[in-house]
Amino acid sequence: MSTARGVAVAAFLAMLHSGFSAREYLRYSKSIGRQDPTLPIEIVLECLISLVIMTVAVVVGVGILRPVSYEAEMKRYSIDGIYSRPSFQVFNHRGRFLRPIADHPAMAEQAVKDKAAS
Amino acid sequence: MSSAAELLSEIRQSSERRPFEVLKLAEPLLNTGKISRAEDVWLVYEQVFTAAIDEGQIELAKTILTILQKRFNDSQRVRRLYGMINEAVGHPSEAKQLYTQMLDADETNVLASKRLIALLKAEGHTKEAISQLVTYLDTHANDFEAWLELCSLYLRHHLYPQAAFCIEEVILQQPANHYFHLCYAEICYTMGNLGTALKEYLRVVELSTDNVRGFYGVKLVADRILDLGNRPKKEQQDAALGDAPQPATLQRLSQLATERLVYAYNRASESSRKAAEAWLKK
Repeated sequence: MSTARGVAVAAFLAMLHSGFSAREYLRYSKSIGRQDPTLPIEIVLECLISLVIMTVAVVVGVGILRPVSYEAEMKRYSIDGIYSRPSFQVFNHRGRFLRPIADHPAMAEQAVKDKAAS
Repeated sequence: MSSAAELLSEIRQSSERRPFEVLKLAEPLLNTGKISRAEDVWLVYEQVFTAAIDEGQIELAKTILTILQKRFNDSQRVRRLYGMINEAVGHPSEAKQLYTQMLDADETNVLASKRLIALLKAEGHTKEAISQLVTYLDTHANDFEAWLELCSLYLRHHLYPQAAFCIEEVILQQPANHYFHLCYAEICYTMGNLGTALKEYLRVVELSTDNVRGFYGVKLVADRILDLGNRPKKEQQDAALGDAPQPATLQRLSQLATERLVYAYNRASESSRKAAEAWLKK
């Protein structure tokens, strides 16, 4: 992954270089008064090839791609989550009595009371 | 970032209700103070709060509430949490008063009106809850969670056509979610609306590869339509077939469902595989 990133940076620098060369070349042709200057093939090729390399390197270097299908996305959800409706939850349920007695304040209190009563 | 925080965020995003796990994961974070380093710390606090009142740890919930109140001084969302504590300790009237105050201040407060409906449900006044929810949905028709809630309330009273309508609304909003198609198919099957049920079960297996519950549905409906000829006259007349396919197609659908189910149970444990095969052979 880090090699891919390095390649991408190198390709990006090459692309910058091709742009810089193009600008220098145009300035040079203007100064010698050449009409209708076209860029030499080396500069065009440098630009295009570095673009291709950079694109591939960036895609490879981005890491594991996630599947694009909606079904793969839906796999992350369970039926309990989809039907849970969190804003309508009610809290007068038996949840507080479902924990083990040892670390349970309400039940421990009750146990103390029961002992006292007996 | 510790993995406990990641797990907590996973649970939060799945919106599953797993208070015991949430508290177990959050306890070390709370004790060491690492929780403040999580990037979504306030969401984690809210999550732990709900888990705490789910489990009856009111003291912990109150501590978290003070932290949240310090940070978000006059947030309606935090005020609602205070009402939820009242609900959990058995003071529904105080909670109701708070929510009504919130609604007086701002009529469009979605959270407060939902809590009021939940309160009615908690007190067992399902009919009032239904009528309140219908009024609520008049204004917030794009709230799929509320439609689902209304559906489940109707189902409590065995009002299947109404429940089916609610699920249809949800499907309109999220047509590619196979869980809603599954629910709709099951309601249609219960109503005896076999044609629609078959279509919806097929939609489920189309949207979700090898969905076991979907294939069970396909098999049940197809076999039931095929078997209608041997049933009493009344049942034949009551069954709404719609444009159900020809018997030959139904047979092939049933066969396909059996085949996929056998395949799905290949990976299951010995005993459940045998049970499923025995049922499929019937």
